[in-house]
Amino acid sequence: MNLPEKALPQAFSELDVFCERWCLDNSQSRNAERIAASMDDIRAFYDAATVHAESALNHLSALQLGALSEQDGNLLRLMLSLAEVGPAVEWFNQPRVRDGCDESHFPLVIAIPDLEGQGNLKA
Amino acid sequence: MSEPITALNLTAKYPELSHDPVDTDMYWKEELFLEEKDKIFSRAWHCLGRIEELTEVGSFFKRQMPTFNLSVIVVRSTDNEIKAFMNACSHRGNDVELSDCGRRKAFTCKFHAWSYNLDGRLIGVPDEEGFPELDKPDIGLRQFKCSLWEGFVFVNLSSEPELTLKEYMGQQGADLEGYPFHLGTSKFQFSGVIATNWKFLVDSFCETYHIPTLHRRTINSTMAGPDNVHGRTVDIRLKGDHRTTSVWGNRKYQPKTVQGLAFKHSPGVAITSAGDDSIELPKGLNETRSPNWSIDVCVFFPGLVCVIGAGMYFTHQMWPVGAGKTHWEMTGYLRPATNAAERFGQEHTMAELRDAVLEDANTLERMQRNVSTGLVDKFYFHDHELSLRYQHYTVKKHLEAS
Repeated sequence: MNLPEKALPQAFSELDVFCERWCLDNSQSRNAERIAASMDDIRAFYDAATVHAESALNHLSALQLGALSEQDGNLLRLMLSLAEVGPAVEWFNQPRVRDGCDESHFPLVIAIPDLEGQGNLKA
Repeated sequence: MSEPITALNLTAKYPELSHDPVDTDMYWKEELFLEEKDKIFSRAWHCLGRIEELTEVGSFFKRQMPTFNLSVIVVRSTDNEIKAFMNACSHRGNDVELSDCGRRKAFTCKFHAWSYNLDGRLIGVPDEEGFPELDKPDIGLRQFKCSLWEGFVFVNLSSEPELTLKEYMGQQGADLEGYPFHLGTSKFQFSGVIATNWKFLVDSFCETYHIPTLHRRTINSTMAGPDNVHGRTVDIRLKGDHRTTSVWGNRKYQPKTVQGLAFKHSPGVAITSAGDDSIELPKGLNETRSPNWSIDVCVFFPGLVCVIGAGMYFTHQMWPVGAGKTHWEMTGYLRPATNAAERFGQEHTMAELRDAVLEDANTLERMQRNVSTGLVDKFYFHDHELSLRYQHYTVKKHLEAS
């Protein structure tokens, strides 16, 4: 992604430095980035992002999908990467699943869109 | 609030079942797989998707049925009925639909442009005079029996199914009716081929005895934990060929940082959080109404596993393609995010679920390799592995029937 210098809303500018790496386009890219990263890199991102995550999510909870500004969209995508790396820190203490099957054998083939509205489809 | 863990007397409730070790031939012998395909899978109803994916007349989705190497189109036809057709042109057998889903007025083969309306009737043949004997009303798309249960679209490949879908879903289906399946419209899916028998894959979601060991880093603390150190289930119920395992939930679990944020900002409830008391459950979910319940694992024999919690559900569909090879689809159905923060809870649910099942898959491939040598000729089922014993019993029953 081509990100502007001020990628995030002002209140979260401390996390701007993580955007180039962790604001990614979809669920598949986030998992690929987690697997490719070192545990030190994941921890640096996790530690910094969790400091702001509560207020970032409170900020996002007032906003609608499908109508996010570019900066708010970047903030959501950064939080989605935090959701992705969460188990690496909280479960495995390594990027990949410990003693798990290779992710490539069971890929995500349908992802929930990141930023689009999720209007309840008519039955 | 908690209650004592479940006692070891589940198998004894079903006198037709022995407590003996079982033979393992059906998990690896190719000739038995072919028999299963013929006597079980060819006769069963197979779930292909949800009605919410077919919103308007002409809406369709295409699905593969790998066990039969079959591509099927499911469409909302002109009379608003849901119909299923083989995705094969009557002219010379090419696929008539190449897209995975969409909306059409007609299906047109990209080979010679034969076209079919939404009822599967052949409506267009270029240079038709070149086929002097063509009887168009008789050569539409091959249609399969199609029926709905609680918004799930099922097909049956027999021209005369032995059971209606309602009969097939049976008591277990009836007991789940009323669950808000239709609310789970935000969908994700994982799909792949695993080198294991389809029954091993089904089994891995039907016993919780493995949770304290295999899942010690992940879901052990939420689905077993210090009050349930051996991973006892809440309850197991056998209904016809189907069965439900009610899984324990540790209500005292204190989530880790990101988990806790995901539980808070979730449109439903994730697999690792324990229940949502605000939802009224149908009779068949947590039937014993245990306060320590997390999810029910409802197997519709043979290969559909519905894992249902108070706020979300997901399905596993097992498509065997050989005795030691299974095409596995895992589909999550989440409530739509009502704000941008809930998208975070959805992503976390998806990531945790994927990571937990990746722990299962390696083990299943190792078991398959060992069993396929013929040297592991018996399995020993724990009382709380009753669902596995019943699958073995049920498969055997079908194979021994004429």
